[in-house]
Amino acid sequence: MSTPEQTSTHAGSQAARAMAARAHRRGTRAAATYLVRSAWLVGAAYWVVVLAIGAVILYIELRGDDVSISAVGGPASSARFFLLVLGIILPLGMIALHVSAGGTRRSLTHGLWAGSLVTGVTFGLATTLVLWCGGWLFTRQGWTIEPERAVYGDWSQIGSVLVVESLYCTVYFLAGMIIALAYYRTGGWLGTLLIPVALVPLLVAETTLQSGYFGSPLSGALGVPEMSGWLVPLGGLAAVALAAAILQVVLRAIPVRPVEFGQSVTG
Amino acid sequence: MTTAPFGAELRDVVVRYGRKDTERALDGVTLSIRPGTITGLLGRNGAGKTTLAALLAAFRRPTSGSVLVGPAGGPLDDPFENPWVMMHTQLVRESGDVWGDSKACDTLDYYADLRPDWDADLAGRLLDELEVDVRKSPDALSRGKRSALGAVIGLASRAPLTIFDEVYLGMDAPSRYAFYDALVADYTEHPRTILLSSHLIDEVERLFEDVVVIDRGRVLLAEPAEDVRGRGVSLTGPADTIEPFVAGHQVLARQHLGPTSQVTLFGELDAAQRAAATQAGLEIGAVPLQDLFVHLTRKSSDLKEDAR
Amino acid sequence: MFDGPEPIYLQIAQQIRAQVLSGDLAEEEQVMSTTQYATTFRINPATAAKAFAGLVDEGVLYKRRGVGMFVATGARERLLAEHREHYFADVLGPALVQADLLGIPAADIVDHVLGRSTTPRTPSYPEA
Repeated sequence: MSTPEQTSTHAGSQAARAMAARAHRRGTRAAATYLVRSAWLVGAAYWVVVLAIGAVILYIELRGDDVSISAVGGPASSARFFLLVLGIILPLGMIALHVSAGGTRRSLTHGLWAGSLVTGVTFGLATTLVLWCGGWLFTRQGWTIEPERAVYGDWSQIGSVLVVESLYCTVYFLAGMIIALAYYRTGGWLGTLLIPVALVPLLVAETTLQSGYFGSPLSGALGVPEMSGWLVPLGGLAAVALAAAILQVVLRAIPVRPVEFGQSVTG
Repeated sequence: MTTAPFGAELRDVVVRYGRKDTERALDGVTLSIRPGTITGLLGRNGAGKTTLAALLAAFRRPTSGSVLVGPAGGPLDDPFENPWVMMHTQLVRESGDVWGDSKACDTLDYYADLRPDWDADLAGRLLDELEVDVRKSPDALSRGKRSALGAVIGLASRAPLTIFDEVYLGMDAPSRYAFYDALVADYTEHPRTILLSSHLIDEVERLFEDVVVIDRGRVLLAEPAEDVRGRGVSLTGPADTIEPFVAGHQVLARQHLGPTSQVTLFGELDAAQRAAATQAGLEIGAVPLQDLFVHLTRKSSDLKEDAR
Repeated sequence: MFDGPEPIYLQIAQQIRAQVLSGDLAEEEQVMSTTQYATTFRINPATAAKAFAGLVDEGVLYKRRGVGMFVATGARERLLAEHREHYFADVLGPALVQADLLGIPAADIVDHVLGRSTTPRTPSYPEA
């Protein structure tokens, strides 16, 4: 047990630093993988429902020959709200296990960052695909789509749609995590009071990406001028960065709750 | 395992759980855990065992004081957010930290991913022995099987500091003994520091090399298990023969069966007293750690009651 | 097992000595390893190791590098001699003191030991 190199291994030694760096990467990867996998396990069901609802609406509209609302686009671009809810649920069950498995809060944070980015982009991709398919069906029927006040005029601007929806999904996912973890950390009233903090990055995202339910009316109400060009993705990225930073602050030095709390929260 | 067993030190550690200064889970704890030992962590419910374990495993920080963990012969470090120390420290809380609603093997995979010394063979063997079905989710397992899953995680992690906090809850006697056997066998093959908290003191006392008793957030005693055992003695024989030996000792218990009495005393008998007792035909016996523990923790709380 | 008042490592040593004395453990026979002992009796391996180390010091056991512990040649003889020595001081001594206390005459004890006491026991001595 006590050969020289073993006793010389301690937290400050070179060997230990290399081991710790490897452990950090393992922790980050494990947390990110779990997050993405769980989001998509539940997400698959979500997309099935989205397509089913879209089909029903489309069918009704075809019969009435009145196409005033976006049939598939509406449910599809609410993916971000679905991710907000998942963001509230998923990381709560991860903290205790991650730390118990010897991971740091830092590697958990990095894992959540990476995981929410991958989840956000893949959900953005799915949204884009669904929008594009919906739009393609519409044009085949000979209908035209009237552009809303949105950064992308319609489904055909695939690149813009992908960027905007991916950024939305990532920010909303991170905001859900902030809400849940702030509540986990402070509990009760203070947790509730901290919810507005999580809403700030959402506000930034909505007023720069300017699409969907809130984006356009909100920007209009706040008098934010219409964004275009590079300002849009930059604003979205700023929102993501802000949410990531808030998440890091919330997770830094977060105490792992006693068993009873975890059970009452995660069921 | 490539890393030497970990030792731990706590100095003047205070953990407050409420806003008021009097609400203290730990109240000035100074304590050393010897590297390479199996140490028993004993205390009544709410005594502070779980908080102590949470500090060592970097689950939380103390309100004040210092917590230090590190390998035998090396410098000790604050474990909090210290990646190298944390990857080598395993705390298994009652019922374990697991994904409740996905398959148990998902949880095991996560531990296997993060733990540098994870032994999948050992995990598999123990899961078979304890009859834990890893295709079920922990939520669908009985309390005992869920605890067994935690026990397996604790052993398979092979962490230089491993803490089992009442891991036995709900486990039936055969499973508990299978766990103790696996613990001793794996500990001898892969020496490490093990901290074991349990209320079933009778079952585990012989596993301990050291014993720490905490009560109301304070350390009552921390010493080798043999020394704790020496703190009490029982005498059996005719009632009037026993009485002279009782004088000057605290009596923990007194039982009569016809003319025969058994008296349990707190404190040691010196060699001369022992010889005299044997000479007088009295039988000298050991006092179970459980009885000493009950006495120690009762005494201190009674004293506190009196002081109010 | 190991419920006596002495430290557990002394009780383990005592048990092994008794096995050597009774011949259950023959000389040059291998004894259980510390690990086997600890797992068999569910005790701390350090406690078992301490007991074994004590027996090595006494010359009851000896260690063969990389193989294990064995009963030393002549261990039984030495233990017998020691126990004989202690028998009078530790066993017979207290019994005689007790007999004296109860007022049993030495002749009765001698008779008992020699098996000459053919008549049923009657209280031939005054009540204490």
